Amino acid sequence: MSRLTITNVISGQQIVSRKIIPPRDKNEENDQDKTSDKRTSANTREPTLDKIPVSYHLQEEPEPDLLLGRWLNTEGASKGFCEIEFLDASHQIKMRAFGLDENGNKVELAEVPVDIFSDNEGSTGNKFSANFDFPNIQASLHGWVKQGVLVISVFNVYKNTDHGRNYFCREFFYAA
Amino acid sequence: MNYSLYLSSEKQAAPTEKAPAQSETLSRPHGLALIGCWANTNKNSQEIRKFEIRESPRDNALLLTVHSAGDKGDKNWGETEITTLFEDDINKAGFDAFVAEYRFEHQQVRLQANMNLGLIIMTALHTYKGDGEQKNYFSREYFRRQSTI
Repeated sequence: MSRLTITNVISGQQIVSRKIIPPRDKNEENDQDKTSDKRTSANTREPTLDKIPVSYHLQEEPEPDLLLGRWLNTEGASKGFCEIEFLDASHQIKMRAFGLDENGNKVELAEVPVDIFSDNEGSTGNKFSANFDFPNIQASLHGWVKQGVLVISVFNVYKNTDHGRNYFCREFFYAA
Repeated sequence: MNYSLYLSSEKQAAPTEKAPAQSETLSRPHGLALIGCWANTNKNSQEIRKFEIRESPRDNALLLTVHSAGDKGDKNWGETEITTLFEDDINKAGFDAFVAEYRFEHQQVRLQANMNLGLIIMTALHTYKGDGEQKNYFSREYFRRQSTI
C-alpha cells in the first residue's frame, strides 16, 4: 500500500501516513466469523436504488389491525349507524353495520366487504372504503382511524328522490 | 324515537328532519358553491395540487378537472363529470359535497369531497387494477378557493 508524506505547514515537520484501523467490537468479529458468505468488496452499504428489485420497495400488505373489532357511535341516537364491526374473514375484511329500530333496539343492517387503503403517512391499512345497498339508500363511505377515533364520511344517495335528497354526513366512533 | 335511515323502505317513506322529502325538480345550478378553482392548502403536496369545477354550458352538468404533482410539473388528469351532489345535513345552504371518478388504464380513482368552513376536503381513493403489486392508496387533503387555476 502506498503511503503519503504529510507536511505540517506551520512547523514544517514531515510525517508519513499510516493506516488507522478502528477498534472492532468483539460481537461484530464473532458475527462476521459466523457468516459463511465472504464479501469480495469492502463496500457494505445498501445497494443503490436502481439495483434494488421492485419487490424490495413494496410496502407490507396493509394490516388493518387498527380497524378490526367493534366501534360505537359517539352519538348514541344516530340515524345512521349506531355500531359497526370489522371482521377479518379469510383475507377479506368485512364491515358489519348496525342501526336502531323504531323501538331503539340495535339491529343488524348489512355486512359488506371493504377495500383497505394505505397512505403516505406510514400507516398500514387503517383506512377503508365500503358501499352499502340499503332498501332506499345507496351509501358510499370512506373512513380512517385517527387518535383512537374512527371517522367515517358517508355519501348517501336516495334511490327515490321522493324519500329524500342526497346527503353527506360524518360520524365518529370509539372502540368498544 | 330516532331510527336508522338505512332500515326498511317503509320506515324511510316518511320524511325526516334531516332529509326532507322534496319531489319537485331542484333548481339549477345545484352545486353553485363548488364552482371555481381550488388549490391545495399544502403547497408541497405530492398528490392533487389543484382542481377546477365548472358548469357545462351544454347541459349544466358540473365538470371537474384535476391537476396532480407530476415528474415534469403538474399533471392534468383531464375532465370528468361530477356524478352525484350531496347536501350536508348540517349546512342546508345547498349542495356542498360530491363524488366523481377517474378511470385510468391501470387504476381507478374515486374522489369523495365535502365543503366545510370554506374549504373542500377531498379524499382520493386509488384502486389499482389487476394483480399488480401496487397497493390501494388513500389521500385526504384540504383545498382553498383561488381566483384562477
